[in-house]
Amino acid sequence: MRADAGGSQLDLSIYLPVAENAVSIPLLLGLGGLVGFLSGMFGVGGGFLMTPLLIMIGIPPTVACASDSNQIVAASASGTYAHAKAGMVDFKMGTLMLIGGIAGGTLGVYVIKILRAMGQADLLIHATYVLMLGGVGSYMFFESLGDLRGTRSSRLSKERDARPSIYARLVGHLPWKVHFSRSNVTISVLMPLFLGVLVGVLAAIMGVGGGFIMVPIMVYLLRMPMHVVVGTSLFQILFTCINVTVLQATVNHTVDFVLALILLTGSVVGAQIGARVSERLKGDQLKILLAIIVLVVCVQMLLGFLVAPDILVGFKGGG
Amino acid sequence: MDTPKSSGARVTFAMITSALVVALAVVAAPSAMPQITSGEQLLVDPPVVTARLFYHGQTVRVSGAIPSGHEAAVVISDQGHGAVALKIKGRIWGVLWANTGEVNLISVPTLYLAATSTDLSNLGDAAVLDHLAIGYDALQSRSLMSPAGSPDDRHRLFMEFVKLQERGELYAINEGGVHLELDSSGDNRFSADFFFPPDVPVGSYDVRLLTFAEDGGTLFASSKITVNQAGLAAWISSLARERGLFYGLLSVIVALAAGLITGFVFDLGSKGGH
Repeated sequence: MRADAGGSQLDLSIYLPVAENAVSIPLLLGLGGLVGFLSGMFGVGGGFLMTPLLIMIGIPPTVACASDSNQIVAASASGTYAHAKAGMVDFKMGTLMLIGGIAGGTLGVYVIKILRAMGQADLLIHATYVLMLGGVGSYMFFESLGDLRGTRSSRLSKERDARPSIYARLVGHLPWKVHFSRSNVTISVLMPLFLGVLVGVLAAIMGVGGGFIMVPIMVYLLRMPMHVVVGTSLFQILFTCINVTVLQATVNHTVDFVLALILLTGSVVGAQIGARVSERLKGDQLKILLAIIVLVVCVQMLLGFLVAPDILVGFKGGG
Repeated sequence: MDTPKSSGARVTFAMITSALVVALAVVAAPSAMPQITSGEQLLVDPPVVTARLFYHGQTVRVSGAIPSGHEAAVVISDQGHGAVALKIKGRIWGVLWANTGEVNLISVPTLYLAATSTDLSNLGDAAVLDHLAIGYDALQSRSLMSPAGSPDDRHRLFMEFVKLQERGELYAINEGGVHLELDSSGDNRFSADFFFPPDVPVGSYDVRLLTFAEDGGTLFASSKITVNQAGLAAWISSLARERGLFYGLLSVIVALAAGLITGFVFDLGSKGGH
């Protein structure tokens, strides 16, 4: 039993009134800065990284999720601003995907309810997570690596891509085609709506914002340029997280403003730096870096399946 | 290009919002007087633990006097009326570790801090310890599990829950943590220090002083200790609970403003550098 509160020494921790715990301020600023940097650089919200880290340092899971959404509002606003100034946000495409995402998120909530009633939902969710991360990460990694090296297989792949695939022919037959000038693509409005629904469903099932699913979908299925993808993804994440923050604060009372404020102080600065670094990198370089992060998260989750936990119970809601 | 000076200024600006909140947190606390119970002395110092924005836990000293020749135990805990929902982790297909079920523990305290003047086994037999609710076995015997498993399963899961709580410093048993000393008048003085971690929930907790002799143990004296929030921490907590929509909108507006202002400042900085 610790009998010394350490009150006499300089303590840079702060008490979080909703989480009812104290956490180091420099640690929170650092976490915010790191996740904000990734957000500004790759167009991901960073919830898949931040929420587990907050739980690890003693924040109750429900408070970690809700407060993280609040800080993502700041980071994505900061990142969207930076990318919009550089003309790298496709607002039209983003709005359509956002509408689809909201519908998909609502649908996903019911899907998860059905999965839980069927039992083994947690295993199914985590398995989906690992497969999604592993599949998307590996594809992005090898594709970008090929492009960066300019290999023969990559050239062959490019030539193959030049011929219309079954997917391209299907998409080509869809009605209500619109030209998205910022992304320089002409596709049916049904595509961003449908893919938005898909991302929304997956995000709700997996309990994350969906940025790291959204980015590959925009790159590979909507054929948007990587730099526009980053800004457009942040634009959607901004509105999704505003919605989540207000709902969590109203229904569950789990938003810790002090926690969010310190995190966002770090993340808004990180997002600006990330956005500037992003501008200086090639699309393939960005993709391969994101692929590495996605694969690291995937391996970490896989280890969680294989390594025996030191305590065989956990609080419900804590994963 | 950015100059180091302008970069430093921008970082400073981004910190201002949180610095303002931190500055507002310094609100004077009403001083708490040590509490003396009627009858025997049982001093709890401080009797009120107040959580403010810079609170990071508090050491509480429990002291007083007991009859000569007796051993002592001090227990700080709550009544444990609620239920704790837990996920059980187990192996699936002999390879994968995943959540395999859920269980509710009923009537377990949120906080259980105990200190004794000697080893638990020296204080009394299992029946005595159970009667006075000292030790984890006594806690388990007072708790219920739903769904109820076999006695072995119940014990195993309860002890896993104890490990979880010990890791969060909400459960602790410190054998030898009560210090006994004869004073000049021949009274047997005792004292024990308990660390209240910052995640102890707001509420009132019982402080029990138990004494032990050859003929068994008895509840010698009792008192209360309260954990509450004050200042800005209390204001934020009550706003979050009572005016959720306003609180949520405010949180979003501040986050939006911080994001956009930082973006604007960085943008100005970039232009200034060219």
